[in-house]
Amino acid sequence: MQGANKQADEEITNETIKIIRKYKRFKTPLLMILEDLQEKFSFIPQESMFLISSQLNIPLTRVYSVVTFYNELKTKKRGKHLIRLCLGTACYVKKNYDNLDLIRSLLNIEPGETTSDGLITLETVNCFGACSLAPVMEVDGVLVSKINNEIIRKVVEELRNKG
Amino acid sequence: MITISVGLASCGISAGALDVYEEFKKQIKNKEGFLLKRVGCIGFCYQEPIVEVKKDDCATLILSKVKPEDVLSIIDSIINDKQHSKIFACRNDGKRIFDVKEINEHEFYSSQTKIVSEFCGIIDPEDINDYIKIGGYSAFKKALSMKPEEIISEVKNSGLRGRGGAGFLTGLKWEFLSKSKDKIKYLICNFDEGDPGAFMNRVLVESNPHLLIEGILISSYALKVKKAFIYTRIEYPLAVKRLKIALKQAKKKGLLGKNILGTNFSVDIELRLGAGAFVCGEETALIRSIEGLPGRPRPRPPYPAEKGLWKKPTNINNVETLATIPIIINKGSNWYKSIGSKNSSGTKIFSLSGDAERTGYIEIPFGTKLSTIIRIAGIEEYDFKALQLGGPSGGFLSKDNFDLELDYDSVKNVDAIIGSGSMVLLNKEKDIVKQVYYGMKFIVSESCGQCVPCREGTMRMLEILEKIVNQQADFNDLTNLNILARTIKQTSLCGLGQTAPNLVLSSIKKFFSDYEEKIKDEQKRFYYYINEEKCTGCHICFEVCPKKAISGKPREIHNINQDLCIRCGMCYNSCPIKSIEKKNIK
Repeated sequence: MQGANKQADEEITNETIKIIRKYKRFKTPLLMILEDLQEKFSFIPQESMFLISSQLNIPLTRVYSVVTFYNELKTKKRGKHLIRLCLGTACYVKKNYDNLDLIRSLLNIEPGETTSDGLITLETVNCFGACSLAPVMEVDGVLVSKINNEIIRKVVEELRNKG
Repeated sequence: MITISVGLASCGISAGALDVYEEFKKQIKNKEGFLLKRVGCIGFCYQEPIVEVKKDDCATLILSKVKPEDVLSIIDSIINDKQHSKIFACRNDGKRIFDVKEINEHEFYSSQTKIVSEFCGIIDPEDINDYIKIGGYSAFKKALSMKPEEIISEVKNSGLRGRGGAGFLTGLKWEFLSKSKDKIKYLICNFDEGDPGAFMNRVLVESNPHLLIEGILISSYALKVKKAFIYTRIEYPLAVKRLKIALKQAKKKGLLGKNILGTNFSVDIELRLGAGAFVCGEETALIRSIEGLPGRPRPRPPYPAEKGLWKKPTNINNVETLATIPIIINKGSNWYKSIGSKNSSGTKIFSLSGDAERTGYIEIPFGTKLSTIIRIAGIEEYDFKALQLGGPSGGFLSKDNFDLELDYDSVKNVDAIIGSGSMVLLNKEKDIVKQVYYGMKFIVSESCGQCVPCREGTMRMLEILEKIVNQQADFNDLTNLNILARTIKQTSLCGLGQTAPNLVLSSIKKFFSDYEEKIKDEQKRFYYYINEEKCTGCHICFEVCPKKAISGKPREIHNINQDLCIRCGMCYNSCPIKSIEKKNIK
């Protein structure tokens, strides 16, 4: 178990250094680095923050304040699959809150949480800009439009079957 | 030759256009004379997936709601010139084979003036040659033969106003920057379209990214900027992808980088991504975000034109503003000025969503009447309740504004803003207070927390709104809400806070009955009465009652006249022995 942890730590360190190097020629690249890390790990590992702080010579508090300021940067690891429900104005008008309730009850979690088996994370987003096809949600990066109870049930079932 | 164009912007893709594209690819693989093309969005989002077919010199056919299983029959009908049930319009660019409505006659299209979005959904957004074929980058070449001052005065003369929300004159903004003597200056394209309900910038970039790049090139030349940034959203992966491709292609063609097209002019464009913070659309917050800081606005002055990115003079323009520049250079400022209304020239792209039959984006000249927009959206007048303009920091337009000719100034006069251009339609079943409550929830979650009026004030407004929605509020709460809203508007640090109360103020003015209903309901649901067994006749209730609804002499049992009582609860709260009781009706 500890061996596996060590390996994971090493990967984080290596990736972080790689990403920091990638943005070497950019001025104030902090946000770019964090976005790349987020994409890679689906969250910002603590070790990365330490590394960025020392490599870029930025106080750790500032790195942390940036991570917590932006909605798209997470400090907790996401589940294997990700459902993001849009709660923008148009989706609100098209009753996406009812859809949110359904997903909450299906998964038995609140927005921002992951199912206990670590399979699905539920998040809400302010707007995907797909308002003309509201209500929408994003499943593992793919936008699903004009969603209803049936589609949601199907999506959740598919994700569970996929494992 | 048969050209098949599949609309592959985010809207089309989410409706299943990728599957349609793949199916066409599979079916025409072994057929001669077919060309499959990837295009953006023509605006009819509600009809997605949309496929356009152009055969030889025939009129282009537009097919809607195409499914992969339709592909075979579509190919068959094209080859044999047969009608197909999915054909819903055609273009006026060739001979017509069958009797189909021309797209310009369609209600959704007929009132539009497509200038900026003219080639959206027609050209391949991932191919620079397609853009050059329709005259792309000719404006930039023309600009290079002009003096920077000439370009600025041309833009100034055009009357173009910033499309990001505030509507400040672009030419004037440019003049501020051009006056600066600093050698290092920056240009930032604000593509942080975080306003829920707005998607016109996304569609524009996904459908025609080179137009934006050409606009940035011309602006950089005019402003003598050597480094430009495009600040966009991480939530727009397709737009980011297409921008990256477009930048790469432009560089390869020598349109970007050092000594562009053999001149002394050099500029580099860099892409920066926001990470999900609405407030970063505010220019000083955006600058801080690029600087690697939390996106919290700072007080102005100094304005970015003096001290912007990395303390250097910086000019920030919206996507649509910059995308309009090539058109002004090509066709002249006088031509541009002839479109639109007196103080708001040109056209604006709006995104239509909500309770409408027809949703999508539209480009209309300023001065278009609200009733026209309602017609475009396909919502019946009797069913229409309100149009939320400008997102959560915008305002409402109601039936009373049907004849209003929309432009920056006229909309301001009726307590709304053009804003970024999002239009969310609400039908008569929608509750305005709930809509405002929802909008405030968004503002509270997006307030950066830096200044007190916005951080605390919006939270308090939300609390009062919640009380009203739950029918627990009285008129005092409404008064407080009104005062609070005005105070926040006057005292907040940045645009987010200053516009946060807009929905509240505009809805109280235009839809007071929605508020009143809830408050009255609350007051009708119960009544107060005096328990005769407990009353000692202390007379306090008689004295506090503002409506003189209580009768009775000291040391005698008192009584409440229900017709006069407004259920304010003052007697209830002041009775020392709690002899006044509350009873629910039913």
